[in-house]
Amino acid sequence: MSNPWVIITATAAIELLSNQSHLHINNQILGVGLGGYAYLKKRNLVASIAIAVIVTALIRRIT
Amino acid sequence: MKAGIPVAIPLTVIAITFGSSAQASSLGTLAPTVMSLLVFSASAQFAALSVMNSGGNLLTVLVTVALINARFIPMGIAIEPSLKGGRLRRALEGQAVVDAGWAASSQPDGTFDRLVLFGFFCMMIPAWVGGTFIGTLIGPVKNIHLFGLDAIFPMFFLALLIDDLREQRTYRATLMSIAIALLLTPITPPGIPVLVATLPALLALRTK
Repeated sequence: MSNPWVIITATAAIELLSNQSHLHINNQILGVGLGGYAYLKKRNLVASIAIAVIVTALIRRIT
Repeated sequence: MKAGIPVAIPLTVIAITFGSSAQASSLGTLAPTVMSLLVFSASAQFAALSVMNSGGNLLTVLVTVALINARFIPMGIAIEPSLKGGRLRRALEGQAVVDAGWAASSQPDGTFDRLVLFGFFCMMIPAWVGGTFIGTLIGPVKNIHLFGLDAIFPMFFLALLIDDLREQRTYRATLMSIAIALLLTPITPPGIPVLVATLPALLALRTK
């Protein structure tokens, strides 16, 4: 579980699934997943929230 | 109160979003601000606004908000033994319960730290009400979802969960709750998945 590539791959897969509207998930998954990984490593809540917000915003601008 | 700062700052931004959206729905400045003071529930207020904007009637708004806020019933039951005084005082102290403060005040032994709960409340009430007021003055902001601010609360709760996942009992209850929420979200009204997903937590408490 501590392998970052496993986490990134898993959250990216869920992110792709989340684009299916019937799942009612709205592109937060990858941002929150990466923020959660950052929290696992550094236990800094503010930084983790910032990562989640920035990544979510970036994904929405790209997609 | 210091523990509430990481939540109060983004909460202010979300409150500004709500005030701005309410202004875009022609609700003015006073009504959304009073709503934030009396309702004090971001999810319920955004849901009410969404129903009103889609032409829903008062009954629809009330049912939607009641379902979304029904999660406070098990939260209130869980925190009640940690509150002080008779029924009236406990009911008044219970008004300080919000999701973030409730989660942050929970202790490993199943009790709740009242002072942490009240500290969160003291940080969040001015943030939420003040932010709403500011948002109504700013007015509508286009494409607010592009800023990703709705990721704040899921990330906050994930961080709290990560701190609790060392215990196997919590781990199992969490997996079951996730599975229930994923299964129910596409097929049930808002509020139901959250309510049903609390059942594994109650079962985990019984096996303590």
